[in-house]
Amino acid sequence: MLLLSLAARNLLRNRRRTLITMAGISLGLALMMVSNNIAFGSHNQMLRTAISMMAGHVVVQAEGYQADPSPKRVMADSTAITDQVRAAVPEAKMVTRRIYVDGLLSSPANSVAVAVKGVEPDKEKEVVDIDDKLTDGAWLQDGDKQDILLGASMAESLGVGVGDKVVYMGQPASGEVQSLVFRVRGIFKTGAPEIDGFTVLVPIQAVQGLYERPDVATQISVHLDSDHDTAKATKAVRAALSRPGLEILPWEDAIPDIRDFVKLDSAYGDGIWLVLGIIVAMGVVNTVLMSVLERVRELGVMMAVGMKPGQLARMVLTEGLILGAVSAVIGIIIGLLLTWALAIHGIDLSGEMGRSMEAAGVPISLVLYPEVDWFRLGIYPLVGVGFAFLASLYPAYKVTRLTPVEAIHHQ
Amino acid sequence: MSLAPSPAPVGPIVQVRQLIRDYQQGTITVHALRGVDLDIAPGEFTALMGPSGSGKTTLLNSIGGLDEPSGGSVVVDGHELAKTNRGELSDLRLRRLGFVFQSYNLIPVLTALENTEFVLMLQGVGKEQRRARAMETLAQVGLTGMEGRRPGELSGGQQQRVAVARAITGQPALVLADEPTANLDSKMGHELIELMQHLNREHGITFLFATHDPKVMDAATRVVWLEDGKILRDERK
Repeated sequence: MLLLSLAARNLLRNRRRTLITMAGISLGLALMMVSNNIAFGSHNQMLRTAISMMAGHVVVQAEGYQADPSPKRVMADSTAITDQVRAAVPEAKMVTRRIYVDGLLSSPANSVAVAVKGVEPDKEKEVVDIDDKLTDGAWLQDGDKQDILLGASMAESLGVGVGDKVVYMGQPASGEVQSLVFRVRGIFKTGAPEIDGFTVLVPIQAVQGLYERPDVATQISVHLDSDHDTAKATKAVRAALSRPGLEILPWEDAIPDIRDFVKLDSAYGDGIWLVLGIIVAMGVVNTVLMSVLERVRELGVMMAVGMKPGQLARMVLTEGLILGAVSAVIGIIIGLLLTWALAIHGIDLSGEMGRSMEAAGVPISLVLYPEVDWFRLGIYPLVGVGFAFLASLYPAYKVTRLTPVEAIHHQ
Repeated sequence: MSLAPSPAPVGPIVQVRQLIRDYQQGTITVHALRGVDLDIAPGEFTALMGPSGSGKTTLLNSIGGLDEPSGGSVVVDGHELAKTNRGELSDLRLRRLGFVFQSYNLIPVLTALENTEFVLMLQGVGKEQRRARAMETLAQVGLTGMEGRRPGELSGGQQQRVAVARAITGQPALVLADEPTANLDSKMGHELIELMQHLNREHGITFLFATHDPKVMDAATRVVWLEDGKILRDERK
């Protein structure tokens, strides 16, 4: 205990230096935490959007679709499969069907390539927020096969507005060119060029009409309340649909590009913070080493009265650990407070860029809402203390190399 | 790493034989000790006297295991220092030797009581026992009531008394004191010498001083004169 108390008092000898070092570690850790929480919130938002728009937490699709997403790979009897899925995952927030086909959309003024997403309007509305992004018109109605929603840039290319007619032409199933007539019901703007300029939404029944079998779907997507339940739900769906011809994937495998994007972005962030951590650690080395060099004579006396080099090294390491631990606690408190403050109104980066942008094909909001990464919250104290410990190793080593007589006569 | 039990003190507590200490000062080799032979018996109150550079402090440091000789041997309390490793040497200093330095060299962030009990803590003495012993030792050196003061709040004489308390509280076989009165005024120096004389007479603690101070020489029961790294005279009173 006296050793611990001695280490703490040694740190208080030069209060200003200790406080500056602690401020450096604390602020570094707090900034690291806030930055990580912003990235974590942004990644979560991106994943939520991607999962809801592009897949679902669990996806059921025709076997081989993931490797070769051809419009010909559809599931027949999609209603029956949906019922089975719903029974297997009763806690699912929503189970909805989609069909994806592509083709050409024409107006009297222009023709553009298009990705058509056939959806169940009432259910789709519950899982994606495109209805919030309507700039004109209204959301699709169940059963109205002629309704179509266009992105703003596509509407502009085609020179159409709400109420105008457009014609779809494509050959999704049989190879024969087929056409459908739609009337623009609404126009949306997500901010993602790939979606606003290329994707249209229509009721699923309209696209099903292009196929010989009426009850087809490309995808049955299961939406859960929490991503933590994905593995369990995937297992349950696989058990319920143990038949050939289907593939059942968790979202990580259904949209691997998004998963990899988030991982890469997180790793990049971690790399930056590792560099910052090393710079902060240099500050700790400086403080502890200066503190050691200032009292070489005193350390020599301690050795003279019988303190072993190992005990001296432990005392120096304890000083580093106290510095790291106290700074980590302060840093985490500051980090939590800053995260909380920023999360209230979000960080608005929109300005001239509009309120959203696209990353890996997913529209992401430019108003960032940090979220506390609770897993990493447990790691920050270890990072603070760990860096301080590592930074104290060199001064501690220096102490063990001292000889009493040289130390006592050190000027 | 702990030290083997000390043999019963039948002979001298310190035996120095043909001790040589050379060191480099730039390109010059300084011969600080040139074959010193010295025995110190238990209970002696010995002063090493001599001009600056005569080798007093080097001899004291060599006996205390603080400095490594270039040749010869030093046996302290039955342990030949050349044959003990760093840890054993620390243990010997901790349990069998006490040190008093010219500049007091107390730990500035610890109180008088904590400075005194520091050695006992290193010895592994339990908290209550070491506190009681440190209090008792501070009383012996006349510092009752000063226990809670830090070195900066004590006079030079009081600080040196704390240093003496730290040196004797671990019940060493020998206390090595390097110019203990050099930084004290005449009155304080005199009081400190009287204190150490008292500890020597009443408690049988062996003292070995390196000093210039005639007061210490007067108080010593034996005076060893050094010059140019050699013993010139060895006077017993």
